[in-house]
Amino acid sequence: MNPDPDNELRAYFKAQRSADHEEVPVWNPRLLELPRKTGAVSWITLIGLPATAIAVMAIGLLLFSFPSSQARLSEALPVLLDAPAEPLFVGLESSSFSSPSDFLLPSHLSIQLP
Amino acid sequence: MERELADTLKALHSDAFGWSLHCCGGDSSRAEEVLQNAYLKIVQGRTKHAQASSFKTWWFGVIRLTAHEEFRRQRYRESLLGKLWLQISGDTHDPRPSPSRQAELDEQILQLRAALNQLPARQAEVLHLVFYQDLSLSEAAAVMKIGIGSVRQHYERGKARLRGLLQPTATHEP
Repeated sequence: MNPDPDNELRAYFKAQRSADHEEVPVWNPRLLELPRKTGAVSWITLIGLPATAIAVMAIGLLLFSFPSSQARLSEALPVLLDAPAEPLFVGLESSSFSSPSDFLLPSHLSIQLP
Repeated sequence: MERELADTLKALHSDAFGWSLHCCGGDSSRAEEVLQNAYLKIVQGRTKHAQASSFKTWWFGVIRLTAHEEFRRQRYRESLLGKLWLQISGDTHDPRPSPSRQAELDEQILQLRAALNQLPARQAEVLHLVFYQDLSLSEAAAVMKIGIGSVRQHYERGKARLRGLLQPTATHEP
């Protein structure tokens, strides 16, 4: 009669089981009596999130309820450059200014300086 | 916590630790952490026995899942930045037992551990569940969340390979 071929493997595992059971941490019933934290989480979920949503909506409503008091852009921008009081090309005399290539310009493009 | 549930968990505590130890590759400190986290899941109501399977197979499934979660967390910790930090700090975690502890362990047990480590995870799991935990193949399938056909295949292949791995060292001995 042939012995069960698995017996040898069983013996190995049995030895391992005995060795493992020697280092099993001591059973502590307090492991199963920890206070539930789900209450705190649900409190945050039930109250915190809706409160945040309401606050965001209130801020949004406040912002959109005010009339637009913004002036036109051109009026709102500060004046960076004042219009010059004197003529732009004060040093140029229109009569004396001439260029050798003036003859190439068409007559209607001739610039009349003040 | 119901008294009946607490008593059942207490009765299964040693086997649960053995299973956790297997799921953690023989690292007892990590196995303790995994088991504690699995208990926490029950205490916090994050998992409940649905009566579809036996309590033991369900509980072992929870431990297995918790060990996998812990393994993923561990891998995340051991990301590139974590490895860099470990190299700088020189603090490396060796899951193997200490030399003194290793000397205490029987040679046969060390052989089995080494051989199981060489097997694919599924094969090692099913062998542990059947031979160590005395579960049937269908119960092992429930714990591992795979079909009975796959479990049978892993079981047969695992047994053959484990015998082969344990045999050479046994024959060399006087």
